[in-house]
Amino acid sequence: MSKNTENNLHLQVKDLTIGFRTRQGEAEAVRRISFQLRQGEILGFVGESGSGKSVTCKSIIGLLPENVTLSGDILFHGKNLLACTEKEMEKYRGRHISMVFQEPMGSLDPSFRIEQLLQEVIMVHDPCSREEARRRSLDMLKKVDIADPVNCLKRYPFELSGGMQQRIMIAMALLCRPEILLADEPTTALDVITQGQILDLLRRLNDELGTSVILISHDMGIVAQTADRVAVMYCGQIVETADVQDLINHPMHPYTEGLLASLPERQTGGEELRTIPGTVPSIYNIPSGCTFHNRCPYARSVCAAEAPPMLMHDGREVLCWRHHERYQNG
Amino acid sequence: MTPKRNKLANIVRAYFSRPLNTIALLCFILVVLLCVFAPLIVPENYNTIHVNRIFEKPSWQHIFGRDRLGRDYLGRVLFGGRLTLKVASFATVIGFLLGTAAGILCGYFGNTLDTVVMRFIETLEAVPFLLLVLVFEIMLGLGTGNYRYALGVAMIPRLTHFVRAEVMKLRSQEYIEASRSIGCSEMQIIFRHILNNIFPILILQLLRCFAEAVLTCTICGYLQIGFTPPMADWGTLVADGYHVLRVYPWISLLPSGSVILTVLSLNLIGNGLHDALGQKQ
Repeated sequence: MSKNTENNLHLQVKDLTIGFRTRQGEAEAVRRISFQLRQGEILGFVGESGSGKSVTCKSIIGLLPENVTLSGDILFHGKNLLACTEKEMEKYRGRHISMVFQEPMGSLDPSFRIEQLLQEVIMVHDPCSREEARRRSLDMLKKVDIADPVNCLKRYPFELSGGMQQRIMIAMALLCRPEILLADEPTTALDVITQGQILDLLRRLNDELGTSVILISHDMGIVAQTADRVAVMYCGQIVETADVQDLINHPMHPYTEGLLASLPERQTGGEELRTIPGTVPSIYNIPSGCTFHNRCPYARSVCAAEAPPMLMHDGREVLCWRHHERYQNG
Repeated sequence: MTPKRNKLANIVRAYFSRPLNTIALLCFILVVLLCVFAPLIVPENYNTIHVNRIFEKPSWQHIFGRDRLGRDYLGRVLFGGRLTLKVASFATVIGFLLGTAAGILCGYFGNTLDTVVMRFIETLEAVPFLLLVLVFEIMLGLGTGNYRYALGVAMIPRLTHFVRAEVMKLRSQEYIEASRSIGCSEMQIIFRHILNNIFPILILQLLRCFAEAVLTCTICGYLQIGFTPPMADWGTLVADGYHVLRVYPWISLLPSGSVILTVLSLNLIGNGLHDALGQKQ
């Protein structure tokens, strides 16, 4: 990789493995995943519940519980975040890397007014006068499309609607102009109309401020509509990464194919909705070989026996024997 | 739609919307003022003995009458109240600060600290409150000043347990994680987010502790393990009048009435505040 492209990378995750020490033993929620986040792009993470999306996201900002074991590298501009102490991480959080949570209601402290919440972020990272902080808060509220920012500053979180609350969360997250915004299912708790507005907002802020975004969702539709690139996660692994158009038009991994085929928009009328047979394996009992082999329509003997290596081809990455053989032969 | 601007004003309004709350607060303020300004109110020194005027009935000069040594009983009761309230507030401050601090630390940080401290606290909790006060008092040495410490220390276990549970509830709230995600340090989270959110609960606990301290202080006095004569708190006064309850009932009834008035008004204030705080959202 040339030097120039290295500089465009905000975040480089290499061989990240996240395990939890639990009563039932050690469980690996994420296994040896690698991905990169380029400057100014929106990277979508799609996968079912328990596929490791949220955990990956929280490991970047260092918000995992204490019973976690981490290995691999998370390089932020060349600095390994996994090796950082808690004190060092506090400087990154909110300043360089921010996060927006799933539940906007629960994520805003009910005992403070919006003004105090926004001010707190500024005061933590670069203390300034109250007027300056107020000006910046108002600015940011305008950027996130709050209709009456002055009035909004005086309110308490519980006086606002869900969509407004999520806008405030986004405003808080972006107040110090971080390079990376982690959005962990930011629209799950919202209705469809508000969901669309929030996604548009994320897109626009990504354009305007140049913030790179990692967007996590279980909804292929949301990711397809918002992201530039998509990583599909299954059972703690990234099984496929590709530009969003390529992924939708030519899914390579059978799991991606299955996900796309089960979108209601893709079904012709009168048919029963298509699903992927079987269920996600428990993380205490991960199948041998390819983790998807017991649900895969193309599975062969090699799939159960040996884990496929990551195949990189034409800017895409896929974890599947089927393509591996094809491209090696071809 | 105009948002309700001032949270405090809402709480105050909700509190005073019930007459009983107002009465309770006024009663408590009255008791405190009477005790604080006792030296200005009493007609004569509460220690002056008049052997020829023992058990004089209440009159306009001496509205509480005189006790078995002919001392002005109004002075005895008010100065007794001063002593009781002083001891109770001192104990409450100690117990409250230590108990809350321990509860917050255990609840927030958990792990080994929590395990060690909580096992110790649970052992103490197994002992009834009054017994615990007595044990601490004996450990600290029986004497005039020590039982305020004993009372304070004995208050710690229950408070720690309670605060810890509340903090643990808060710790798992998403907004605590969210404030970490914007770069707040542990101390900022504890002092800003945790403390602000348990503040209403802490106020209620403070009132409860104070009421309990007044009561326990009285019990200690009644059992004659508080102060040595001629100093007397409400409990000692009640005990003094116990033997003459049938002939001179006011000797016992006046101080015990004061205790009841104080504790009852404290509990009513706490109850009213609880409801008022509950309405804020």
